[in-house]
Amino acid sequence: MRMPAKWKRLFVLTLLAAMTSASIVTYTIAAETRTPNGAEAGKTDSEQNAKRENSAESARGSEPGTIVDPSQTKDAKAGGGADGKTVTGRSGQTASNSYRSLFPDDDAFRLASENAYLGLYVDPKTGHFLVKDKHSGQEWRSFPDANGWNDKDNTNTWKKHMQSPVFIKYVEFNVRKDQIKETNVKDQKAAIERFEITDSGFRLTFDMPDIGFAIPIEVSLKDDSVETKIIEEGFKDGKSSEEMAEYESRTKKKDKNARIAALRLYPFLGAYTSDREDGYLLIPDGPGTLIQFRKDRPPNNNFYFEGVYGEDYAFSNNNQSLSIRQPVRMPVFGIKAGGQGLLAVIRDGAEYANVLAAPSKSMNQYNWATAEFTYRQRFFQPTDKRKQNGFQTFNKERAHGDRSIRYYFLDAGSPDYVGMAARYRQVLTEEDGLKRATPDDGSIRLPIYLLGADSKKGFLWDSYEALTTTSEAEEIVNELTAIGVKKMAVTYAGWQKGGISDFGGHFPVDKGIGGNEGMRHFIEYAHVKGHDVTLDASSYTFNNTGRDGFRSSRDGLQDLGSVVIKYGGRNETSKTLVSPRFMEKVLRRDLDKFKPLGADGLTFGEGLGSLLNSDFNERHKATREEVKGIQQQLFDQAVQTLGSVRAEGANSYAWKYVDALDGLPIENSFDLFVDETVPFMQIALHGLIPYSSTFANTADNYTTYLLKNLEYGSIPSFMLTYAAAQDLIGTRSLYNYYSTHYKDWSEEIAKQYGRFNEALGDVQDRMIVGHRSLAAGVYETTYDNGKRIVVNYNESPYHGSGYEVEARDFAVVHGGRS
Amino acid sequence: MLTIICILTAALLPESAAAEPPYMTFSKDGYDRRIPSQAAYYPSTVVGDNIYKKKVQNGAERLEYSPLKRPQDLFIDRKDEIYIADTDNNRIVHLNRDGEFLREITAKGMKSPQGVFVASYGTIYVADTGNKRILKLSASGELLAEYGHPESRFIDESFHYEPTNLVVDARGFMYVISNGSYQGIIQLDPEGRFYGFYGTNMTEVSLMDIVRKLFYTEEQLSRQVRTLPSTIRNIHIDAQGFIYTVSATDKEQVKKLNIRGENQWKDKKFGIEPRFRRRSQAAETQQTDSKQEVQKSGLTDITVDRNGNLVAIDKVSNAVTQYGPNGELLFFWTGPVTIGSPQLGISQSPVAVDTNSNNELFVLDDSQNLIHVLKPTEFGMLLHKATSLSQEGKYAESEPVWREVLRLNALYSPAYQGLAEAAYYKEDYKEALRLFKLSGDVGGYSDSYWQLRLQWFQRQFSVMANTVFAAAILIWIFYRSKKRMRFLTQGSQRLRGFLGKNKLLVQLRHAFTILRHPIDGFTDLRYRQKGSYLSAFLLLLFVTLVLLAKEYYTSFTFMPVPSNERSGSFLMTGAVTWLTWVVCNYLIGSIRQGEARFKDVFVGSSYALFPIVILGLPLAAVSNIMTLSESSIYGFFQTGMLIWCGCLFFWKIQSLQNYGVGETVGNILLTAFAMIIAWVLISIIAGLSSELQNFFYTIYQEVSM
Repeated sequence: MRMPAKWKRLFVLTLLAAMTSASIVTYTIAAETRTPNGAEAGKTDSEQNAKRENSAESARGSEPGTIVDPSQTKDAKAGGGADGKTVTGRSGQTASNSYRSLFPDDDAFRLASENAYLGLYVDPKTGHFLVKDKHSGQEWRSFPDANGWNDKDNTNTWKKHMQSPVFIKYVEFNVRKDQIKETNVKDQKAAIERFEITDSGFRLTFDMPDIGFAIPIEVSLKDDSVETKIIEEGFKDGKSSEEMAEYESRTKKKDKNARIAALRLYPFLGAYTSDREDGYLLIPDGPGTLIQFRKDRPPNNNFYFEGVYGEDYAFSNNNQSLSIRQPVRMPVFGIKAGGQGLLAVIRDGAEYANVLAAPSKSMNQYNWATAEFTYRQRFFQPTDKRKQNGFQTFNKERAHGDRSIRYYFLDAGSPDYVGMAARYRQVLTEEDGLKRATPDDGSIRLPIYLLGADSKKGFLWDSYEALTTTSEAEEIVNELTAIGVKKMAVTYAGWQKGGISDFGGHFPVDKGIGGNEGMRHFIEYAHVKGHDVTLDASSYTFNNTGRDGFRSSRDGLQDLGSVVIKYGGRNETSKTLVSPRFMEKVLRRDLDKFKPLGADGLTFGEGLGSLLNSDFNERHKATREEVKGIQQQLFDQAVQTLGSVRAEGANSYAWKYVDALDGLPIENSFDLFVDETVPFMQIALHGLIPYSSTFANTADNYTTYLLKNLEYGSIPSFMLTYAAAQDLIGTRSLYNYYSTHYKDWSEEIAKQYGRFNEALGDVQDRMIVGHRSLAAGVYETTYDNGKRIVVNYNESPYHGSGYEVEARDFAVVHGGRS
Repeated sequence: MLTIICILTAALLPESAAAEPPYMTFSKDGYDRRIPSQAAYYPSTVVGDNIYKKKVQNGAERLEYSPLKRPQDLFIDRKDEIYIADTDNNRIVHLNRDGEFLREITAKGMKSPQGVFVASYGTIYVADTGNKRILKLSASGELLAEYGHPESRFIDESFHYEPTNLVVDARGFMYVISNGSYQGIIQLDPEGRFYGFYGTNMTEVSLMDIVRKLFYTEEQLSRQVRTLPSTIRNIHIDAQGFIYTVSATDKEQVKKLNIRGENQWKDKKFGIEPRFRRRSQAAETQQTDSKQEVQKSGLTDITVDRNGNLVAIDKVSNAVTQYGPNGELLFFWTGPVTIGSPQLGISQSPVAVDTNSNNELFVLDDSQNLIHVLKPTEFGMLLHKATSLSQEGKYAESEPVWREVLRLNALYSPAYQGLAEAAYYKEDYKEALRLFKLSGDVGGYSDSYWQLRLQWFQRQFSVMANTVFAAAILIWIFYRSKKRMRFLTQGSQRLRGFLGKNKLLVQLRHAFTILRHPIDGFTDLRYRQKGSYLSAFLLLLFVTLVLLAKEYYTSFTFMPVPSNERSGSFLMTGAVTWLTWVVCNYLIGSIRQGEARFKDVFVGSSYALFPIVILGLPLAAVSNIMTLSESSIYGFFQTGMLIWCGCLFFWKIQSLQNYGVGETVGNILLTAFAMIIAWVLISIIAGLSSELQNFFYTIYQEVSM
């Protein structure tokens, strides 16, 4: 190592020189690469602008803002101009009521089918239909109702949309890949082909050769309902390559390559104006929410547009327009107008449907609700490694299958939300196979969530933080039983190896809380005391440990741009959504491991019944529909193997498998344009499945929360730990739960158990047959055995006929219906 | 179940969950961390969106829909009736306590009124902005007086007078805010005569201003825009007559002014901190408007409720913040700004806020043209009760309330503060110590510890005095009999002999020698082989261990970081810096006639860290028996340790490179420079290579598609 100083100096100098020159070179390279990059950036910028525009306009953005054909825009302007002062004078008299010229006359309809309840009449010229109720004489039209029509309030574009049986959203792949255009069969001058009367209704095809669409539909009558269906067979969502070539050679222009993105079939069926202010739209937001018909609304374009069964997280990457509303759990909507009401249930292709409900003046003067079926979805195609830059486009491959909605026309006696819910309950029992709950010994089973363990960011490494060990759980159960909680449904969460923030490789039960042996002992103990124990299995949705042979890039849920979908905030562990097919494999294998523990079953949630995501991972590819099937199979298998399954926030397709439902919403999503939350879901489910709502510990208004549960026939649930709640500070997943210490809650739980038992204990297998407001802040729920529960939210007592309800309390009223 | 998706996907989704309001409420703990909480206010309803006024047309009376239009101010009077300055409709709208329309007031050609105030005796004052005057109306709406441009020798004709809001105190004095007036509030006497300026803001001088002042010529300075005090945005008066102002300033965003115009809240911070703003929104502002970044605070209005809690609204970040009677943060929440789906309880453009006697919050929105009404939740009311009890000094009474607050939210650490104060008051210092730590209050913790230590001293005084006495005697005996205890000395000599033979131990022991004789010591490192890579690594290991131990065991008083947030990550930074230093120092040394080999620099730099090993642990230990009042001693040793290390580094260079003092200084500066250059280079190369990789990937993606 001895070198002459001179050499050494030379060496170091060259080193420094090399460093400097290297930096100069890299800078110049940087400058050079920046230029094309700059151009690139410019492009992506404009794309991003477009994207932003679009995302604002898309789905929930602003319906009227979407790009329309130039001809339509002109129309729209003319239509809009009619509002202006100059035009009104001229056109005022002539076009004040053009309803008759736009919509088919009653004479145009001829009978297509009839049964004991309904008659279905069709107009072969327009494809519209009319339903007549034989008993009440009520009529339903597949186009807007005439009452209150005011020409000025509807633009020409909307007039055409309203005239058309089918509304079409499409994308032109050869023009702009990221932009939705709107049209309808009227604008496309669709020809009605292959019209035929079938046994129960009629069938026809809207043929639009110019744009290359062909939409075969069928309308059929069944008892008290009408089903409208878009048929997969013969469905053409754009020109074939031959047709495009033919078009291009004929016109010497490039074909626009239009493809269907979404369809609405008979969107204005049962649409009414607010002229009489005597109806409402029911939307499946929260437990059920009403939008009243109101003449005057503040000028905002608010409407409800939500995907059935929630967002598809395979389309969540870089998606700025993810919903802030609660996910839709049941594919229903309803319309009540005056003395008539209907309930619509989306049947085939519900997982591709969005419920759209628009109050009057948001787009036109009608209150209307419909389902929009998605065929192509917008997604973000990243073009760089960081997945940040890229462009929005639509999937080339469309979703397949029939799409149908069933409209149930309600009895004239109960055209309100209670009637709608009752009809939905009938659908659930008759068509979906739900069974009436078997009467128990007259006391409720209280859902208790126990948190096993979580990990905490430690000084040098993460530490395992046991929150409730199995022996501590025995203590909790013992104490609660001793002070009067007779029946509990204990769900043990965070039992898996590593605690609640470790996903993947669940077994064995972590040693830190007692291991398999401890768990078995606890379950036995709980059984002796008369309680059920289920283990939380919703964690199978994610993986972040790489156990179970999971590799994020290979087995994670991917979107169309091959981006693996991951979650995780600051201080949390990032976790990957597991491909449903991979999850199926793991859970099937693990099901047998639950058996020796003696658990009464599992609690599902998240990707098991709650999240419905398609998967574009080439190895585990599954469509949304297939994933629904996978989830149902897993439910079924868990029931087969272990006996029962509870589910948290489950979608309606899972209801027939579950023994109890947790986390039922009791509040809507606070939209400004809605008017009222109603217990639609609860009325439909009570007597079929016992259900609970969100955790009482974290309720903002505890008393109100309890009262609301009483009103909705729902049992409160509690989340408990043996450890003090302060121990949850700094945990990876549970830092948001601020009050879980069981000592703080046990007395309260016993007290509320007694209260709820009195109210709901003997009606667990009973249907709710009535729900109404007796006065401001006072609600009455009636069960089919005549028991009534009156809840008073006010600060002052309420005096009913023959009973009194204390301030912020409830009363049980027995006896016949008043 | 537990992992409700919305919470876990915070990065992806806006926070919302079933049965929770559309916003998440937070508070801040003593460690400045954001803590989740139950909502303090729950969206209740909206009012002012269905105003129908009676109109007589062709003899028939009918109702006409007459919505608000860009309203700018809201006032709730003693009877809880609501007055709205409906600016673009040129009227004042009067609603009853349930929000039903009572009447509209359009006295004498009112034009774009932006402010309204109703005195306790019913007189209505209107800031008639469009007509540049103040209107004084009777309760029934008849004109009593109007006051135009104020006249005074302090106000010249060029003074731009455009009243936007006003309050009136019990004496009838009017405090008027004029649009763009930097002189402050214009105070008018009950007859409308100019009385003086009040509550003027200070000019805020930025660093750039100072630099400009230093370097600019007089001419350049004269061309500069004059730095003027920020204008006052809004004003409020509470029941005690304190006047609150809101300004878009860096400091003193909210002032609580007494009758003499003195700010009672000089060093309090208001407004939501940028890090708590919504991430998505922050990104948006970056993209759209850099001006918004400049905007220091978006506070638009404040109000004080019946319990003395202050509520401030922020238009820029769409946030509502609530402060206790002493200006301490209680809650805050920010609304998602979603275009197209406005939600109950979330205003998109809040301009005015007020509370009624039930402490309900009324937030006026000038883009939605309505008022959001938020009701305090059970949790919120409980907390307000607790704060007001603490405020009144009723510690004993407040205790059960604070306990209930904690039962409902164990993370709400401001509650620990309340309990800790109660415990301290009860002289239960042990409990107070624990609670102050939970609440993150260093001062309180230190005070409680001081008390505990005092008690301990008092209790143990006799024992301690005796111990000291006994120890002194023992030592004396020991030295007296030292000669007799030969075997001891022999033993130690034998030990020394053993140590002398083991080369590694000799090398380690040399660290002590360096402490005593740094220059020679470092020279010996090289020439007498008193140091090797092995010993250097061992020393580095010791340093690491000591630093970790110090981080972990230093008392809460001197390291107020919750234990689960203390981390060893600082070691990484330290190690990287140290290594860069070694490399650069060697390189610089070798081109500047230095003599040190790489090994020397490495070993020397390790040995120079030795003071940390010696002092680190004692410091950590001693910190556990110190309180804040002794912090200067602690600080002295802490900095002493670092300075010692620094000196050792200096001597190391000097002796190993054989430099004079001047050369050493030059060497150090050059080394520092080289370190910076090295890291700049490394980051450039790393950045560019990833950029290049990305570039090819992008090309591949675009081609393959």
